[in-house]
Amino acid sequence: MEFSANAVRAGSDAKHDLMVQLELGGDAREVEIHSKVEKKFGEAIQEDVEQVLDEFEIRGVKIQIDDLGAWDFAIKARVRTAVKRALAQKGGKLA
Amino acid sequence: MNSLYRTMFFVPGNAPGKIAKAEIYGADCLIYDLEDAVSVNEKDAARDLVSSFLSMYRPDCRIGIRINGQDTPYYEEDVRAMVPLQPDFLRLPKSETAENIQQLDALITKVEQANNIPVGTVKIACSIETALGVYNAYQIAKASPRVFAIGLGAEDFRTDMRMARSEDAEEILFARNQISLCAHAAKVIPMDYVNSNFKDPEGFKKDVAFGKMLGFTCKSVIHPTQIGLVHEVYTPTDKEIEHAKKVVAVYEEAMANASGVIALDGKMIDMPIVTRAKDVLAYAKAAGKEI
Repeated sequence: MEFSANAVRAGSDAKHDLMVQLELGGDAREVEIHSKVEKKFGEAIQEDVEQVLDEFEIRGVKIQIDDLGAWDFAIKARVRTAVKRALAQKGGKLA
Repeated sequence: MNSLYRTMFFVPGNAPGKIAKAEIYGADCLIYDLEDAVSVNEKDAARDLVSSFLSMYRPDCRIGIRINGQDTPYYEEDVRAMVPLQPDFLRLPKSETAENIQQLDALITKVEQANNIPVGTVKIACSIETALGVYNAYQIAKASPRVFAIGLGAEDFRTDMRMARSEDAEEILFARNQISLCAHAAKVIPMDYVNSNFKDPEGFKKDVAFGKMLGFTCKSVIHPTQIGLVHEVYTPTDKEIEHAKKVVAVYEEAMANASGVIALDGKMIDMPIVTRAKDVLAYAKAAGKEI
């Protein structure tokens, strides 16, 4: 997934964490998940991401998740932080 | 969950793996750290992580959150984000005056009211880290009914006092004594300082035992291996429990017979000894020992 210079990041490459890259814009949700456990947990990770995007009522966004075996609470938290950082960059407004 | 605060285990607030695993080490209390363990660029991320974890999972022990100090731009947002999670307490670093505590009390009250949480739910533990703080320890402990514990932040205190660190922490003896005295006078929990040398279990145990002798009933810890060692020192031994049981039995018998002088094994038993014996039994019971 390609991002512009406006993309934000949240998380880390530590074990049990994840790295989120996110860029607001467009009119669709594009979510790309990279995880060793994608077969088993890909759907659950996708659901966690979608849930946070719903919380913030975000429709247009590109997100890449690089998962290192994170728990659900960490996935939600990192996506939340990334969304807040992206919103702050845009002065708190959606694209 | 037991009712004791023998160990307060610091968990870095921005480390998901450590947050998820912390409960298994058996500390009486977990403190999620938003302060020293989190870099300035990640304060927002740590708040979101701790918040997400505590909203979804609740460890079966006491929960505290160390917020950033009042002299930082993170303090207010920390309080606003953490109080709705209803931790048992917030731990305030650099508590120097009663006004520091009263300000925090007022802000917690505001957030509790805004979130329909009964006022007074979230308590305050005060970390005293400066010469002024140690000097004001009693006023800090009495500053608000929310204060339930005070303790020494030894590293910052040494820096403020221009002290060199010694192996047996001799230089902070006065401050430890002052914190213990003021905590007991104010009827709050005295928290002993963090000893960061977790590679020397014998030295650590000696340090904990010395703190216990000074009146501390709680130790802040930073490594899982320190938890069991603190519990070992703070939990009464079988010999102490047996002696305490005898003291209480002799006392109760004397009361029933209206005897004047009470003695056990040829030694006079007075009220402070009975009070201590009852404390030992209460502590042993809370620690899960059979009495």
